[in-house]
Amino acid sequence: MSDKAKGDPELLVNENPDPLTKENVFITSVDKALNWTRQSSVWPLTFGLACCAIEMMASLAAKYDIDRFGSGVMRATPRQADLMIVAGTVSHKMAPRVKRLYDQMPDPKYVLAMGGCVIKGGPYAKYGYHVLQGVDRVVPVDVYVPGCPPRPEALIEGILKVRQLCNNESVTDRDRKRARPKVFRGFEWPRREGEAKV
Amino acid sequence: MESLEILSVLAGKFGEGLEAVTEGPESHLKLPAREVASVCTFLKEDPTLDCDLLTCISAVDLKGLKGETTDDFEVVYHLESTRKLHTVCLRLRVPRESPKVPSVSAIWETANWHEREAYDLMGIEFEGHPNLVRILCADDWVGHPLRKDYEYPKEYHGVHCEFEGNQDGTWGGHPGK
Amino acid sequence: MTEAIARESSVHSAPDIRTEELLLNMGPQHPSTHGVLRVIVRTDGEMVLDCEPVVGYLHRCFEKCAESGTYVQAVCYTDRLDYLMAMGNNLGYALAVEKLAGGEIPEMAEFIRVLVTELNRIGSHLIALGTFGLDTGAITPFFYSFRDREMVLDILEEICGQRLNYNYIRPGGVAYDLPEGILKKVEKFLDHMEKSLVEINDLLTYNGIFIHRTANVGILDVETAIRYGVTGPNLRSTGLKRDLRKLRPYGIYDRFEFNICTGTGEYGTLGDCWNRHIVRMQEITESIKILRQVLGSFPTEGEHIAKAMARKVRPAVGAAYTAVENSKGELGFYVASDGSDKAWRIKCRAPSFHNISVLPALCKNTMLADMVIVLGSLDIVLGEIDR
Repeated sequence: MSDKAKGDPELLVNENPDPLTKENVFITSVDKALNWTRQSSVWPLTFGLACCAIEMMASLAAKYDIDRFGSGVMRATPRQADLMIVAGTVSHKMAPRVKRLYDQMPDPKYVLAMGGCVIKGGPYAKYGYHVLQGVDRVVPVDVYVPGCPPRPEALIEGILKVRQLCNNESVTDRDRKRARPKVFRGFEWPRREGEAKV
Repeated sequence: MESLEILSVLAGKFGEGLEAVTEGPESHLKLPAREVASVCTFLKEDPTLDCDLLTCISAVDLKGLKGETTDDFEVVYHLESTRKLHTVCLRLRVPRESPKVPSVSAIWETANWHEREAYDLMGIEFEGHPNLVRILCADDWVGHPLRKDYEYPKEYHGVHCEFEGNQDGTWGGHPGK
Repeated sequence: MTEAIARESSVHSAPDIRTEELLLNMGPQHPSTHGVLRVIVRTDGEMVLDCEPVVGYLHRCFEKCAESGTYVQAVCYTDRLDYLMAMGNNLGYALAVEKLAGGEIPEMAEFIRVLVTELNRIGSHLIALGTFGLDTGAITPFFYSFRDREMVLDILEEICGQRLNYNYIRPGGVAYDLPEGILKKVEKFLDHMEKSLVEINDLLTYNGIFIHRTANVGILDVETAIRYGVTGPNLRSTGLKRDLRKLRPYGIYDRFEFNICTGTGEYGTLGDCWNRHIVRMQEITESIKILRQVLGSFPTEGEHIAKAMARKVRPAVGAAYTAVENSKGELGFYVASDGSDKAWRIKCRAPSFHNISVLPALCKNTMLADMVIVLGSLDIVLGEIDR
């Protein structure tokens, strides 16, 4: 520890580090380590369809930068993406493509439904004959972000919830029974029994 | 040229069936459907009229409109001249049982996509159109949605189409199960 | 330039090599198609022989939904047509309904309409230049233009509460009064924007690589443009001075002085991608000019807008077509009324619908990469193509 560090009250320095930590050795479980890497680099798929895409682009720009959460690299191909942000209205003509892109994404994958249109049809809910009334009719959705369009801050909150969902993954759970989303109302995230509320 | 002058020139040249209507918010020319191709060709090629820009083709379903006795469709053409700076509006009616109109896509390329849209959403068939297929709705969509008697689909390729409202119960499930 | 390269390539000069045409599918999910557009491209190696845009992946039944509510309720559907210039859509629809309904708009509301529409036009052109830069591979101008756009969105959010789909200009006037102190913020933004435009032009417009990629690519001539119904900056860049704000002035646009921009033809020719880009840059300057005139002559007193707004709009029986100049071109609404407070038929004439239909004519015998540039320079919004 340098002399400057010793006297500086603002600097957070652990006065009594564990002898292993001093040697840069950390002991944790494989699950925790892998989940930490997964949540720090959730790469979204560029799936901007309509107006919500513009707010997604705005959240990527300098004012509401999502790159600081590791999600700044937007992949154009689903094979390299972790998170599919369905931003904008899905029409019946587009729905098979949404399903195909979801199938092309490798596990573990997440879907974030951004905007009113993909949650339940949005403004086109009743009279929109060609509008899919909610994208959860074709793909399972993990996080719903309401708004028309949701502000970039709301999208960032949705991405942070996805990062927390990464903690549910496990290497022993190959078909993701615990992490698979269930259709639910409101904002209760799927939890294992006995697990504390996120 | 003023639009009233243009309308009277057209009504005079093409004779019977054409009627210039000047009251209401927009003065227009009513013409029978079979004349539309010849009238449009004249409008484009005549040097004083020179309507080189087709702005819009709209299709209206008159079924149930107050004051209308028939179930016809109305097709409205808005034309403009970029050099002479005047506008022309043509309106024609076709019966519901056989909504056939000669196509003007050979005169203006704009009409190609506009007529496909009118066919897709209203079901009006344009004779002589090079590629009259659906443009906005899915290719195998059933029905013509903007008609007043359109029935909303219940299902499309296995996906439940109807709006569920605020009821408890099934949302439609998801393919993971 | 691209044809010369193609002729020199070894494939064409070696007669015994057999080549096949490839049918390539671009989209509907693609980083460069500016939305859910599908383009079916027939290529011979890297050369595009023919392309066909397939639209309809965002068909959101605007016309049917707008018939289901009253005239005032339909305004929120018009926002979502060209979602980058929602104020322009609102204005076009409000003017169309007012043509049938009659009535006078308060003077203050007219000034507010011009103010917000021109601000929105600047915002829309900023996105156009940012995404066009992305198509050519320049990522930095995207961040600069979005930074400036955030300032516009802050002002508009303060006025009407929404960043993107404003629902503000309604038939009869505007929805809310202007908040206090907003005009000073607009002036500060205009001062910043003038400096920022110089910066962005240095970064992108006069950048050698950008010029090399966009000059003499996708040349559109006047006759083809008019035949396909192309309007707006795409038509003006071919040399034709046609702007609906001057041709058939609506609102109080006839009180302001501004030029119609047709580009300079400095690099490349009139009607190519570079010229379309510079027309949009010039239009930002013209919008700043109009806004300064608006700020200079803004009325100090006026009635409360919200009280003057009609709750129910009942136009007379009849139908009429009204068009405004949007950032993409001529946006028209044909509204048919049956005398009740719900519309019988609203048809939207979208400028991007025509702008994209000219793509096959522009992309014959160009490289695939050039086709992406042409698509970006046309500045399309799928929301209004598919409605």
